[in-house]
Amino acid sequence: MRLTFLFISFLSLMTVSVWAYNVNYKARSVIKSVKTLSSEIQNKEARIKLLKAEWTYLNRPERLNRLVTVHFPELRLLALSYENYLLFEDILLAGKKGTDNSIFEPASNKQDKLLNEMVEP
Amino acid sequence: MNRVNFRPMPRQISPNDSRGQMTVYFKEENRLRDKSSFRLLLLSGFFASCFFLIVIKLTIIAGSDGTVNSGYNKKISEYESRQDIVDRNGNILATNIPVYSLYAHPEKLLDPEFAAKNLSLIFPDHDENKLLKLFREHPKFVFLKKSITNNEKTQVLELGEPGLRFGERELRIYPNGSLLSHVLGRTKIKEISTTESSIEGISGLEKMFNNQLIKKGLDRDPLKLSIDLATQSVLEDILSDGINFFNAKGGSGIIMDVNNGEVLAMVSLPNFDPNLRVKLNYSSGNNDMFLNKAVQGTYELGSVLKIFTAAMAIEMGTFSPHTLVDVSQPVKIGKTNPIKDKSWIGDKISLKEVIVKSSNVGSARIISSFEPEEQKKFLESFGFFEETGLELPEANIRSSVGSDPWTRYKAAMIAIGHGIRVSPLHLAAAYATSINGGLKVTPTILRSSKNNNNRVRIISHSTSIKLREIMGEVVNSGTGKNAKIDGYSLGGKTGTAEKYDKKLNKFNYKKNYASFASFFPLHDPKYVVVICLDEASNSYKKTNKRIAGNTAVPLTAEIISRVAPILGVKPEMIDSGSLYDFRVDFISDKGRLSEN
Repeated sequence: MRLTFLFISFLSLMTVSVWAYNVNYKARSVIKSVKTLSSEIQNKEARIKLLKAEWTYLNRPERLNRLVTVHFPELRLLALSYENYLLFEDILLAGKKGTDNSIFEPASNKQDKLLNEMVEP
Repeated sequence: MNRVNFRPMPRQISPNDSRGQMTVYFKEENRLRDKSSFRLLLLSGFFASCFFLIVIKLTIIAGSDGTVNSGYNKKISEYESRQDIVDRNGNILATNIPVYSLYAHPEKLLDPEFAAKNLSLIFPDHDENKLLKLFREHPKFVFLKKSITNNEKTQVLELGEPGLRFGERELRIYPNGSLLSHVLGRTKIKEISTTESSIEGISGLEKMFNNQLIKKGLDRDPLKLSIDLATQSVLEDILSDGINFFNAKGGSGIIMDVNNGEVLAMVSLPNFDPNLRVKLNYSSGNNDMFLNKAVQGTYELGSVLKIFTAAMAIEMGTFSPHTLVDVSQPVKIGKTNPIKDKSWIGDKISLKEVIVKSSNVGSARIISSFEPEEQKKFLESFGFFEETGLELPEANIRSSVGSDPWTRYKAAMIAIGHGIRVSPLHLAAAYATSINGGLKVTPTILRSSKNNNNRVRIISHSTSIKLREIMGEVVNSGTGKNAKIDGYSLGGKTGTAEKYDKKLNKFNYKKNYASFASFFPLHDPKYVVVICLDEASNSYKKTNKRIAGNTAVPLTAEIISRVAPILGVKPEMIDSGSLYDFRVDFISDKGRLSEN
């Protein structure tokens, strides 16, 4: 009885020792990877910050104004004005009375029509 | 020497001992065995509890995510940079970028000549010979650059010199340049060492919220302002163009929400680029660009303050907008200079016309019906004589009226906007109060920072409606008619004050301070716009080229026509979709007050 008890105790001690060693080893490895990850996160955050700053710098109103002026012939961008506001009734909607519904047709339909017109005569 | 055994042993008995002695022996042995088994039990209990404790500790470690006691989190929290400042839509206004400082340990340089030559190529502001001299004179340490970019760092690294070292640091940058420079303020580097530096705000929001911006911890949201970047940009662009066009010395502009006092844009020109870190230098005369004219500058603004004379007269119940006022003769109080109008306006005009035509005589006549003390109290209630409460260190200004007693003459002068120095911000807040229905407005630069409940009522709602009507008429047919714009109706009051010339010891009519305080939309005011120009002159006009009506007013019209659509203010339309042709339409709680 005593021998069995001793044997079981020894066995459990060994098991627990192996388990503890394992846990310790894993914890150390996790700590190491956490350090690596944290430093990586820190680097990425610094990079994001830099990119955000650069993005804001590129989108600063003064530069956008300049780009709008330079590219006016192609883009024809204008400052927002009161004329850009419309009443709901004035918005062209498909199926609404007085609306030319052809403008809502898919582009492919229009191309087919054009092709047909070209072929037919 | 007596030796004590750990396990108690029975004494030895010789085999010749008698039977009785044997009994004693066994008794003794049993007693000692009991004692030893108790000790063993105690010992095994101790070991078992130790074992149990170790098991518990291991279970805790196994259950944790491995970072609790790693000690690394603390290190990260130490690396916390100054927080960003963003506008109401989250656009970055101030942020940090990582940069590096460059220093050298000359004694560790493999080839000082090679290093000096290449460093002078990478940094043209460093001379090769001077660098070599520095390396020779200071063999231990030489600080080369406060901040270099990542690319420059790579170039230096490529030299392969072990004696060249880098320190990590941060640089505060303002991506929008000079835009909002007075609001954001300036920073300086507080400590410099090779490895670290800290940034400290020295003016504007950077100073006001210095502790909050560097606060460590979980609650690290960026500082969100009420400023709208697009509105700010438009205001600054147009004001800057206006100053050039009118050849003005400078100017300021404020756009404020009339209900919660949020400042959407605030400009003071000339301004500065906080990225350049120019130092304040009185001898070079650059102190003007550091002055926030919208907040710090106090001016005798002139006729824009007449509206408060009208407000007081209506609020006290003595006058209505249609009460006639005698303006035929100049107002003379005691031995002082008479208060007169520039040109003859008429015999008797209504209070409304006094404001619309900006009559000095009419305003002085109205205020003469009241005790000077009443006027003082009324202006006090609008907050003129206290700080506005705006969260800027520069905003600790109050309006000044001089220390002399508040006589009837002084009251008459203040009624026409002279003898009282007011900041444009005070004016904007007071205008917002007078047209939002009469509730006091406290300006703020932060988004939704203040609770707007329990606001103090300064004037009645009906007085506020009447003031809107009067100011609408100023734009419709009075001194502010150059502010008429398509799509929006607005109200306002002009002010042209002659500046006091210390050399001539009198007011100089050639040097004016032109201002226009306005609001839009007229029937349901949402924003107040105050524009002030210092010594502006409209060279396209033959006469009255310096008055606000020809300078600040058209500039305001341009600003509102650009800003209103950005702020989402719907243009005024009628059913057919066409626009109101500036028809003034007032609906009050009592019904229609005005004639169309």
